Amino acid sequence: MTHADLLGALPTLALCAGALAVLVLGRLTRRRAVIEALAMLSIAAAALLAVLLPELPATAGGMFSPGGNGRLFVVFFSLLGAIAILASTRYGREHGFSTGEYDALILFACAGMCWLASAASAWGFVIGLSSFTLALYVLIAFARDGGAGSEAAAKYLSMGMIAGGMLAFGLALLYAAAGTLDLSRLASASSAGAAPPFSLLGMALVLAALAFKISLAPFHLWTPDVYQGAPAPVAGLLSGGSKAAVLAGLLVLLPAGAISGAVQKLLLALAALSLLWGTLAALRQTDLKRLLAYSSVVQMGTAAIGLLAGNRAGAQAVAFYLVFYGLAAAGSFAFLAALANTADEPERLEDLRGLGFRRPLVALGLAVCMLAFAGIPPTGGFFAKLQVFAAAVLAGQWEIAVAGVLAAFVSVAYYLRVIMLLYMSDEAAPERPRPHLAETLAVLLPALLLLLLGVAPGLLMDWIGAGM
Amino acid sequence: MTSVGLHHFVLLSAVLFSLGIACAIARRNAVAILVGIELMLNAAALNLAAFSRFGALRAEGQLFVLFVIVLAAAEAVVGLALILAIHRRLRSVDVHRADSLKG
Amino acid sequence: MNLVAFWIFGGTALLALVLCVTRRNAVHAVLYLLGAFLAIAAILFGLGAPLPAAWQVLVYAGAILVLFLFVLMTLHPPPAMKPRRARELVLPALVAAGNLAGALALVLAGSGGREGLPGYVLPPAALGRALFADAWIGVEAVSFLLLFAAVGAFWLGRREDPPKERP
Repeated sequence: MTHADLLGALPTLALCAGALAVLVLGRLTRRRAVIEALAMLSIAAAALLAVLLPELPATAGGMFSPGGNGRLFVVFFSLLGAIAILASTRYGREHGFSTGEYDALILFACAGMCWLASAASAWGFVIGLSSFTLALYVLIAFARDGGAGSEAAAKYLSMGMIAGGMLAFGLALLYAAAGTLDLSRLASASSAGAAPPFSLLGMALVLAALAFKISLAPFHLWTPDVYQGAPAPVAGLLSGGSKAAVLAGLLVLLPAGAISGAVQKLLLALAALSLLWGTLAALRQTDLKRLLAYSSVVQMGTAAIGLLAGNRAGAQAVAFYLVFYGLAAAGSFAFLAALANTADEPERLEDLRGLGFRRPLVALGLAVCMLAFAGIPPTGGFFAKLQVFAAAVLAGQWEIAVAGVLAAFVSVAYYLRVIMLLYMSDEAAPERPRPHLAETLAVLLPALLLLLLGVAPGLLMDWIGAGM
Repeated sequence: MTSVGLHHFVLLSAVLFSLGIACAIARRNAVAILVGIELMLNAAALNLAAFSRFGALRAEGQLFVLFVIVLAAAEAVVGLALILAIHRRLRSVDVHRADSLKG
Repeated sequence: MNLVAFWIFGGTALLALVLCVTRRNAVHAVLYLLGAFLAIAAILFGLGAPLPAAWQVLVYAGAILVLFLFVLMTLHPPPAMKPRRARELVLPALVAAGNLAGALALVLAGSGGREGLPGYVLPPAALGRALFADAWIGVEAVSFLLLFAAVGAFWLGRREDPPKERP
């Protein structure tokens, strides 16, 4: 363990230390404001450490590589954790999350995402994935009376653990083919010329397990129920953070040129099915959470197109895409948390009617997130989708790129429907609580960042380019 | 042929894995799903030990075995805690009976 | 590890697992699983992995399955492991058969003939050095993981609710 290793691992360890401190503090004081302040402090510390640390050699103990995009992702997942905590200030008090466990688990989930995003070896990958998945199992079932919450957690848990078992077995088979557990060389063994048959079986199992985690069709069946059952801020972390982290892990697992032959066909089939199934299902949704669930299936299908491109431009496009997607998903669910009262959350699309006038700031945040999902220019979504499709065409995968563009056009329909509902007047709408400052910030912060990404995507692209 | 080659172990772990998946998918009962999952993770651990023995002979493979065993323990803890929480509320552990979320 | 030992332990593991998967009573299933895990620990020992074999007995068979038995004992009525109706068993049978076919393809084509060094045993000291020198952050990460799994289990299993927040 050299000095550099410790420096490399310091940001994520800061998050874990913060989680511990919040856990202990949660039992000492009863005031949530102090607990949340400490949580935000540790997030800020982790993000600052990640930015300020000097450039480091590639691997920290062969397990986590602080170099490359690891530092960008530490800052990104700390930001998602901050949004989740900000969104659950009032929500937490009303649903009985009064002690520190809730915030500690969110911090630990963010640390797990950072580990996964900067994994350099197979066990780093599996440990990172398992840690934030376990934290999310508990967070989904966190509500005191939550019959729906624990049931959603049961669904997510039973499917998630089967995927975890398949991932471990698949990685073992890939280890046999590649002879090493180094993540970047693991997948290339399966696409090499004389690839032994078990490496293909291993790659298929790994892709199936990860397709489940990022809810590519046909492995997405858990998504609508779990999003509906989970508490709103946790669903934000689940949809935004967990999928972005797995995509970041996939970037390391499938470096440029590593997927070819049978594996590429498998990924192509998954992406195409996700685009089709997700779009058709999203068009007929009347519940905002289920709409967000099916729209995330389409978004992940689009991101898979970037992976399919298999060139450096594709990897950068996917890195940009996961940052935009994480922010938009976190913002949308923060909106739901901001307007939730103890009884219910504004789930049905009809509940949104006229909110644009009664809760202007929060509704504006949701509108920007929806514009970003739809990929309309002023937001970062446009540039992200453009990048992905350009990389795919550059790599000659123009069929899936055309399918992606079609899905994006159709998606405009159901995203703009949400925005229209917001700004249609309706007197008889149920009274929605007035969001506090922190919750409004939780919705506006991602919205502003999305606009910044739309106006000046170069900032992020240079940072990604430097790391790639 | 007195000594055992790699393929003996790989076949055994593949059979374990298949039994694990079949048990996890076939049963309605949450405890049975967890039993199936423990089996799958154990098959992965056995496979890793076999490949580390016959392949690179480095400590890496067995390191992964240790981590897989600990991860299985952590998943079992959370899974069983959730089963108890559901059982207290719904009086049964049939994952599929708890289906109020629909559509 | 010679062929006879492999057949003995492999055979007991498979027999115990087939019985485990088909039991109706959950406690019987977990006990058969216990037997299978001990047989697998013997195989791990034969594979020159003494430390993982010890962990398999201690952690897997000793901790996890005992935890399963505790939970099963506290659930009244004891959960019947009734398998689903016959037509619902088609999917798992297919998945299991697919896996098996993949494994057979693997054995016949891929990895035959890779003979390991006879009698090679990885000393636990080397594994310990790898664990705490090279992968120290993995140990840190896993320790946090176990801590927060326990925190989650306490929260999910609580009887009364935490005291309301002071205004």
